[in-house]
Amino acid sequence: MKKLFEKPLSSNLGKDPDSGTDVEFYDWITGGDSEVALGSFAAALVESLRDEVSVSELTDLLNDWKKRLPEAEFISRLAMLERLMPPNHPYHMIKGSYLK
Amino acid sequence: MSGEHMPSPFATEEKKSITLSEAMEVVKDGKLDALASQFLQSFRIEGDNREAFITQFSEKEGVSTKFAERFLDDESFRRRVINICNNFSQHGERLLHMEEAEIYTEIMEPNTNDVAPLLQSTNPSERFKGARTLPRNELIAKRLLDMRDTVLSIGDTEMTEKITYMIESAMKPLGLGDIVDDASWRKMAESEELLSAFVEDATMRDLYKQATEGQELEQIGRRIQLYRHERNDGSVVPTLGVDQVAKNMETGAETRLGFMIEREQDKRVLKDILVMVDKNTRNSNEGMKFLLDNLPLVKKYELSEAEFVANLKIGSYVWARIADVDAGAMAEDLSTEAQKELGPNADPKHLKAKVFEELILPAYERNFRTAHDTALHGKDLEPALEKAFSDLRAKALAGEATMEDFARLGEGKDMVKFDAAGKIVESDSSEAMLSGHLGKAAIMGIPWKARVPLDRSSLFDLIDKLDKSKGLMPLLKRTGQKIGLALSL
Repeated sequence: MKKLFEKPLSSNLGKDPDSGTDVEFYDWITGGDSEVALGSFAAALVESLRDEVSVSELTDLLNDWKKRLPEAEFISRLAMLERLMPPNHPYHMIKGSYLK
Repeated sequence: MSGEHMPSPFATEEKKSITLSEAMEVVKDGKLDALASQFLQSFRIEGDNREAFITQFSEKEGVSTKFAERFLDDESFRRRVINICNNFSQHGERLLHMEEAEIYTEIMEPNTNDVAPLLQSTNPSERFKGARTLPRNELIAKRLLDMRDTVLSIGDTEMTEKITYMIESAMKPLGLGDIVDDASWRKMAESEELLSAFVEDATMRDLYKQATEGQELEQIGRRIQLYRHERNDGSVVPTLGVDQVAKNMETGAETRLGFMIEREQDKRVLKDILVMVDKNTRNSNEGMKFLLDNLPLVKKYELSEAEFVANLKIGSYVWARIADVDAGAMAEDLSTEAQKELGPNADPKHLKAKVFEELILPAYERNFRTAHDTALHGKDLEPALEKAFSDLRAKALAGEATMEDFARLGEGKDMVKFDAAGKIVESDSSEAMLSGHLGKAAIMGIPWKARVPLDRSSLFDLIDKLDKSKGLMPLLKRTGQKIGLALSL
């Protein structure tokens, strides 16, 4: 099993922007909209990819997506990464083999 | 330490003397001088005094007796303690903090000897700066009432009566009411005198300790505990336990959440999740909410997997969609005969088949029939559905079915009605709030253990499974997420 985050995650998932604490940590049952929770978690996961430096980690993820997702969704994710990943990000080194 | 069981004062050449207790205070004050240093390095204690020392030292510093023994016997360890706990007094810390840091190190970075940097990260007040904790008396009241509710909800009537009698016998002499009287419990929480009188009896103290996750009275406000946990097989593993009691300021609802983190080989696993919520705030999708809203933990503790027991009424269905039974973890609940038959290195398929056969299928079938009878008022099950069920049973007994297969049985035909708590009700009942298919109805309420992998690919997979729209970008857009500056949604 690979470790989830080799590097600190830049997202503030779970942190209150004002107090800087993880109060949401236990607010889980009493409020909030689960779809928003799902969306914010998805955003944090995507955001975490920006800090990923390992080529093999990225390759594993893209291979997994390619295998698992419908083609249109896979292409949409590649487009998202294209826009989101900084210019020197390893994504740009490996994207060639996924883009047709 | 009282000092009466301490060794006689250590006399130096200058005829100055110092006790161990004093020497430790000197160290913790950050003023380690030659005298204290020399004393601590050469400190010896023998015979009967040794045991008394260990007891007193562990009580005063909040450490385990193992830690105290090691402090006595292992000189290099003692040197490390002396160096690290320098300045502890400034933070009002006891050596407990150091032992915790050691355990934390074993969990998080097993190959390092560098404990000091981890001291900071295990300090609860650092970790949850400004978190809205309950005031001490409210926290104690909550725990006492939780304990009372647990006693009253034990399925065994005889046991409940026995414990109730014991509790009331401890309450009456203090001028308090009976077990159901909330005001009496709150009064106890308000008064340290009453509370300590209540727990004076060893049985009450034990019960109270159990109800508060083994925490000692004075540590009741602690939110993170690090200790060594002895497993059934006798092995001792470092454990991080978190216990949270919190109040939602908007709704006023109180919730309690507890879990443990342990290492299993090279994985860090989230385990033994305990959730207590206000009855009024129970709602659907608890399973999903639990997982999603605890995801900060994944990052904080670099978790590899989460083990959970899915026995929530409605949450079970969600769990089945994102995880399968963890046959290995459930094996200990199998009958002795089954365990004997399987032997120590059971084939995973065989093990899974046994788990389904003994622990899941009987309850599932019972729920399935009940749901069907309630929904169709005794009419026969459709032949196609009956066949699908018997095929699935055969698949399970071959060790090839998943929990999701069971949850999906009969999908597409919402024929069962549930009330707000997830209980099956007649279709024309005024309490009917939700509807679902037979498999969904049958899987509810079956306690089963599962594991969710928490690596990145698995978490993306999990989102895809839970997201009804089946598209990451649409989900991000719909929920108004903004990522960096590059993505304008």
